[in-house]
Parts: sequence; structure tokens; C-alpha cells
Amino acid sequence: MTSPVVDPPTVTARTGRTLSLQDVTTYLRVGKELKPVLLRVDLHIEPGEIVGLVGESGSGKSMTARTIAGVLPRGAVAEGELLLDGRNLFEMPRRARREVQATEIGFVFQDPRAYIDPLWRVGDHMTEAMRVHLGLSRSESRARAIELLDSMGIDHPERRMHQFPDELSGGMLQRVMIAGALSVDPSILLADEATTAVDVTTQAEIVKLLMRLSAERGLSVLFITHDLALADIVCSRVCVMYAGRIVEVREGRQIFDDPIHPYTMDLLAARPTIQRRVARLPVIKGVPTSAMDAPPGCPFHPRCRFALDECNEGVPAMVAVRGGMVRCFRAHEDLAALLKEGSVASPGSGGRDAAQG
Amino acid sequence: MSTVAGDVLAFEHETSSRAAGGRLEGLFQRIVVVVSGVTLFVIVCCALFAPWLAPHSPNAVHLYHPYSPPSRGFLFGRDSAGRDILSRVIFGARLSLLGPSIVVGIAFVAGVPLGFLAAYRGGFTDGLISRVFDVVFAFPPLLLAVVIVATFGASFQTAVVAVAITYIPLMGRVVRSAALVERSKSYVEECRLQGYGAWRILFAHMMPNIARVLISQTTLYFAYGLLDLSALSFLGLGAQPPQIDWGGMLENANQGVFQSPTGVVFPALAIVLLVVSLNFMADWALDYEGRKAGQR
Amino acid sequence: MQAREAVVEMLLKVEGLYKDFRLRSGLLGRSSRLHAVKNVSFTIPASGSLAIVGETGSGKTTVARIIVGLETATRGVVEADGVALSSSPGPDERRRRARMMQMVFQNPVLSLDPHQEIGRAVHEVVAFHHLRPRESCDERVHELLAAVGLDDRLGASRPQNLSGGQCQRAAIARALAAEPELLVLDEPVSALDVSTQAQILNLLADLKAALGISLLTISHDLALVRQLADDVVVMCQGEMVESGTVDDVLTNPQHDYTRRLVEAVPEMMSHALPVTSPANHGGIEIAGSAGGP
Repeated sequence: MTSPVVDPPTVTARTGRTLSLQDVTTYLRVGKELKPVLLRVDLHIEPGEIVGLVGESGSGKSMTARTIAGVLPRGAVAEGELLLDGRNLFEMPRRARREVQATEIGFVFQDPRAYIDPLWRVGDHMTEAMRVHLGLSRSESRARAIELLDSMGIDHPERRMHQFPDELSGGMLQRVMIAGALSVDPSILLADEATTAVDVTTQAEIVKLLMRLSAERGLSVLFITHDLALADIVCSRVCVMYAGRIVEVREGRQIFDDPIHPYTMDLLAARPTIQRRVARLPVIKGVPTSAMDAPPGCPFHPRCRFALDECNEGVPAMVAVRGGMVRCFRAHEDLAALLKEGSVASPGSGGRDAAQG
Repeated sequence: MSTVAGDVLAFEHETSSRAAGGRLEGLFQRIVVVVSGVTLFVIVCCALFAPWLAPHSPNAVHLYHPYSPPSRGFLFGRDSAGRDILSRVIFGARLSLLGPSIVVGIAFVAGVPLGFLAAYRGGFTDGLISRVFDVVFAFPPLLLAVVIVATFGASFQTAVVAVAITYIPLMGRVVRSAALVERSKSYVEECRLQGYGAWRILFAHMMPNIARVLISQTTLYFAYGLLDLSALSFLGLGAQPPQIDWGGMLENANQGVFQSPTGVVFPALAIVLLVVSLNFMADWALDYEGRKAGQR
Repeated sequence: MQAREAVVEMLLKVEGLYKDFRLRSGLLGRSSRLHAVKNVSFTIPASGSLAIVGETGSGKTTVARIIVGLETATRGVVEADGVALSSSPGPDERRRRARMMQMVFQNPVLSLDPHQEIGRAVHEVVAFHHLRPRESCDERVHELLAAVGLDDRLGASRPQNLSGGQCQRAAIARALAAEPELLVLDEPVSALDVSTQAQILNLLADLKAALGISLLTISHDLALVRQLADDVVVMCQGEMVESGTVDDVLTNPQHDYTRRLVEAVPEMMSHALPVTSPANHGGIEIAGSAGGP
């Protein structure tokens, strides 16, 4: 089944909502203390946008999604403002907030089999949210579910409704999960590594599906992944996270071709490319840290090629550079050029040109 | 959350609800553990130092004072033959600790290798062992024990062996399940690849990882074993006089319960205290070990 | 460590490999056959590096497991150093095979015994194969840990206390302890962070160059394959659909399936999709299908 070509004037985008995180800090309870996992995160998603959140372990990308969806572990605390169309969810009474989070925010995880009940049929999974939150009857929700599955290009939707999760392949199951998340007609979909556990061809299909949904329904998507190249093509805007902070935000395809932050540069360079083999992959020394283990000053500075003494002293603020935002004291310098000159140790500049070294 | 990312840092695991819970919960738990520990200690001391702790000889009969209520010299009162109940409870600790220990010992020594063998070999061996277990399971355990004892004559030894027989398949089943889980893990596959022999894999590699399950099962069986042995003694099928155990005391006191409830209350209390303390301690020990292992 | 001498003949030869699994379905236990591997043949030279690429259900992992002896083939021959390997090896056979080839598993933490310190795990392999006299076993363990870039002190740690990257290094050290000629890598870095992946890939390339061992990599990641392998076999639903050098196959895929795989890689996808932005989403044309299994 092929997806339709969308003609310019006839896009029936429903009115989506704007989601905004302002100065959000999230703490987790570890033993008796509260330790930060997100630090002063600012994020903005317009209706119909697909925003990417890229990072490694400890970056806080999953915690961001969980903070938005309200599914933090027991004892966790979130500060700042979580605005949905201007309404601050953190200030709402708990029940109202949960209701909003359940009906406005859809959540898709990396490995659905770890989270769903294998004894429930697909139909049960899909209709549950509709019956609980939208008050639809059993038959109404069933009809809607079948319609949704069909619109996603899933064949034999009635049959699928009767199947158990383990009768479906990973890719198909993930598509069903997306359909389920969309069943309450949320304005925002949080996709947390949704394509990581599926085959690359299925990943391509799911990604195209998400792009179509955002175009047709005005669905906003927060696309969380560790794969910068994937985020680059799928998202209209990409945010790179490190140690609980956003360190770079770029529009369109810029992040792949012209990364500014040293961490982004290194991340791109460290990844092997299908286009050629390099003698040695450039390596970022050390391991990624989380917000609670980060050193004082810029969290990346112990591993950074371009680190100066001042990087130890304070956390850089986000500055606007070349059409993006970067959290680095040296953002205005041409770091890529410095690398090429060889005045900085070890190679690793840009994404597609990392053939030297 | 994600189990794929290798470098998952500690905080991404769900923090234990006990750690996040209120202080009152933790305090209560600690009191319970301490009290249980002390109780167990007291019971063990009774068993070890009975001759010095007991105020009277446990078998000294005073036929003119049956069912006496508690008095200065006889704190728990006297039973149907005028014997001091307190002294009998103290002496009773011996068999009440020894019996279940032997039951558990036998269940362990027979059940663990059988369970391992069934899990590791699979196929026919597994089928055979599991069916044997199933046959034993088909009988209500206490009934089976009664039948065995009735056949071979009532005594402490037969009671212990009979109960142990009913526990072997239980232990075996649990070990088999746990071993099956371990066996499918990569590290066991790697051991097989290296060419390690079955015994090395089972005891050097799989066993330490199943230890938690084994410990908790063993403690449970100790407690249940005590209950089963007491039941047999209550039926007159366990330890015979002059041997003393708490279940036997219950049988003796049964007839005179309205004249002298102490004869029933104190042995029953002793049984309950031992079982409950043991469970709390085992719970806490597993928790402690689990928390230690979970920390980085 | 000494490099092995180059040998002209093939180190590993796989010919006509078939594997069927019997499945039970339905209440009456009707069994059906799953043809997981159908007629797979390839060779790996000494000091060579072959990758088997495919998606889930392709059978690539089953092939690897048959080669190392964790599964039995329904039909076909696996030859190492010219000697046919037995289908159901006993412990002695396995021991001999372990000296020839070792496997590195996908999840590094789970492939190590949680109760064993990694130093002891490596030591056990060295001692088991009698590769060093007792007095020098410890020294050998130090050598191996150093070779994979692990600090000596980490030898006393248990897998849970190490990062994924460190665990994978430990697993590699343990594999090298048996001094194999072939290292079979089952998705060796897919469970690791990007920065750690690069370190492990460099390590594998270094070890191959230094020791002359051959690598057989199972992966779904074409970029990784490009980086690590010389030759590649593409599998789909149990069958080999294409094989050749990595350069040839990935630059000029002949088979339709290979082409689809290459095109689905994010870097290659960018050619098929325009930039999406809020201003733009009125005029998007999205090519490609959205249905499928």
C-alpha cells in the first residue's frame, strides 16, 4: 500500500497544540537524596513539527519524555514549566494533569514486548485507552481501532485485532503500538527509541509513517534516538543532549553537515559510515556521563578536544550561532577549521568527511 | 527502562520502593528483624543449653499434680503427667530444630542434583525425573508421610525421613525451573562453547547464581517441615516418649485443654515463633543480599 | 603476541548448510517446519573478515550458532582447517573446537557469569585449556586484559559493576584467552553507545591486524559491516541472496533485497526525502510504501 501524495492546498491539518518545556529540571530519588537527571531543559514543539532529541546513555533523553508524559519513578521531582498550549501542566492538580497527559500525549517505547501484556489481544490493547479516557463503547472503540490500523497501512486490520502480540513481527507490533498511542487522538507523540529495536527497512517505513501523520494530522512528534543520522533526516529540528542538558539545537539538515558543538562533531565522526571504511574511527575519550555525575563547569569539558581552562568554571549558556543554538564557550570560533589545521589533537570533524586519520 | 543500551547508568533503573518509602516503614522493618533475630537466638540457646536452662527435669513425673496452672516453681504450669511445661518446651527445642534441619538437608542433597540434572540434560532424563516428581506430588504430602510412618513404625527418624521424601520433589522442581532459566543465558552457552563439563557448569557457574532461590526455598521448607513434623507428632506418629518435641506436647495437652490451656498455648506459641522469626530473617537476608548485589 | 603465518587454504568453509526447526502449533500440536537456513555456503580465509548481513528472521544468527556448535545443522558441512566439524559435539570435541574458534555475544553483560570476577573468568579459560603452566596463568590474564585495553584493577570487578563497553572488552579477552583462529561476533556492538562502539570496532581491527585472527561478524548494521569486513554475505529469510566483497556489494548491490537494505540506511535515505519543516509540510511528497509485514 502506498501512502498518498499530499497536495499543497488540501492538507487537513487538525489544530494541533504547542508543547513547551521551560527551564525544566528533573530529579530522581537515589537512596535518600534527590539527584538531577535533567538540568534546565528548554524545548519547544510546534503543531505538526517533528523534533529530534539525540543523546547517548545518561543524556537525559528518555527522562525528558518521561517528564512530559508524567511517568517518572517514585519519589522523582520535576521543576520548571511544562506548557501545553500555554497551560502549565506542573501546576495542575494531579488528577487533571494525569487526564491531560493520558489524552493529549501518546507514548511509544523501544521494546513494546517488554511493556505490554502478552495475554491481551491486540484489540484489547488498542481499545483500552479509548474506553477509559474517551468513554467510547466497546463497539465504537473497536471500529475506530480498525480504522486506525487501516490508515497506518496495516493489512487485514480485523484479523490483527484478534491476534496476540507474539503473533506479530517486531515491526508490525511497533506500528500497532503507534496506532494504539494515537487512538485517543493525542496532539503529541513521544517516540522513545521507537525504531531502535526494529529492522532497518521497517525503521524506514515507520519513520515515513510518522512523517505522514505529522503532515496530515498536525501531530507533533518528539523523536528520541541515539542515531544522529536518522534524526537528521526525519526531524525538522534536532536537539542534542548531554549529561541532562541540551547542548545543540539545529534546524533541518544542518546538524549532519555542519555540527557546531564539539560533542556533536565527535558523535558524528565516531559513527562508521556505509560509504567508506576509515583506517581508524575517531574515538571520544572517556564515557558519557549523566547529569548527576557531571563535573563542574561544562559537562563535556573533560572529554572535549577544544577544552580551555574557562570551561571548568561555569556552564556555558546557549548562544545563537549560524542559525542554531549551541551551549559552548567557543561556539563562535570555527572549530572545524581548527581541526583541519591540526592545531587540535585527534581527527574528527563533520559527518561525511571523516575519512582522514 | 531500556535494557539494550549497554552503558546504562545506575539511575535509569527503577529505584527500590523500599528505599523511597517512608522512614516509619524502615523502622518497623528493623524492629521486626531484630526481634526475630533475638527469638531465633533464644530458641537455639534453649536447644544447646537445655540441661542448664530448664528448671526441672522435663520427664520428671508428678502424678499428683496433673494440669497444674502456672505457679512459682512451674512457670508454664504442668501437663497431664505433672511434668513441667517450661522445661519440656526448652528441651523440645532440640528436636524441633533438629528435625526440620534433617528434612531440609535431605531435600537439598537429593533435590538439588536431581533438579539440576533434569534442567541440564533435558529430554529423556528430564522427562523421567519430572514424572517421578509428579508421582510423589500426586499424594497429599502429609498423608503420604502418615502412610510411610504407619508402614515403618512411628519414631522421630521415620517421621523425618517421611517428610523429607515429600519435600524432595518440591526442591527439585524449584531448582529445575531456576536452572532452566540460567541455562538459556549467554554465559552458560559460552561455558558450553569452551567445552566445560556439565559438573563444572552446574556447580561453578550456575549454582552461585541460583543461590538466592535456594536460600529462600530452604528456609521456607524448614518452617513447613517443622509444621509437618509437629502435625505428625500431634497424631502420635512422630517422636515417641521419652523424646520431647512441641508437636507431641500438643497431642498430650489436647485432652486437658480446658483444664490447663497452658499445655497447648506454650508449645503452639513456640512453633509459631520459630516459624515466623525464621521467615522474617530469611526475608531480610535476601533483601539485604539483593540490595548489595544491585548496587554499583 | 605473535602474528600467525598466513595460510593459503581456507580457514573456515561452510557448504550447503540447512537448518529446519520443528514448530508446534494449535491444540493438537500439529507440527510444521521452519526453514531457518537454506543452502548457505561461504568461506573465510585466514586473517580474513566476513560479515553476514540480514534482518530478523534472515537466519544469520542461526548460521553463526551452527558454526560454533550451539545448534546442529539439518544438513551441510562446516569445515575448519580442512577438518569437518561434528554436528553434535561432546565436551572433548567442544574443547578442541574452542581452541579453533570463539564467540562474542550480543549482550556483553549477560555473556559473563554475574558471580565471577572478569579476571577469574579469563583465568578459568587459560587454565582449562592448559595454555600456560600454573605459575604464569595470572601473568597471562594481565596480558590479555591489557590487550583489550582493560586496566588490571578491573579484573577484580564483576560484570554488573562494569560498563557495557568494559564488559564487551572482557568478553573479547576471554575469547582470546583460548587463542582461537576465528572470532565469531554476534552483533558485537549493537547494545553499546556510539562512542563505545567506535572503541570496540577499533579494538577488533587492531587485534585482527596484530594476531592475524579471522573475524566472522553477524550484523544488521551495514555501516559497521563496511568498517569491519572485507567480504559480505547477504541473507534474507534463510537464503543467501548476494555475496561478494564489501565494496562491491554495498556500492553496487545486484539483488533487489540488498538494494532495499542499502537504501533504508538513514544516510542513504536522505536522498529520498525532502526536508520537513512546519512551513513546508503543506507541500510534502512522500515516496515509498507504508505497509508491509
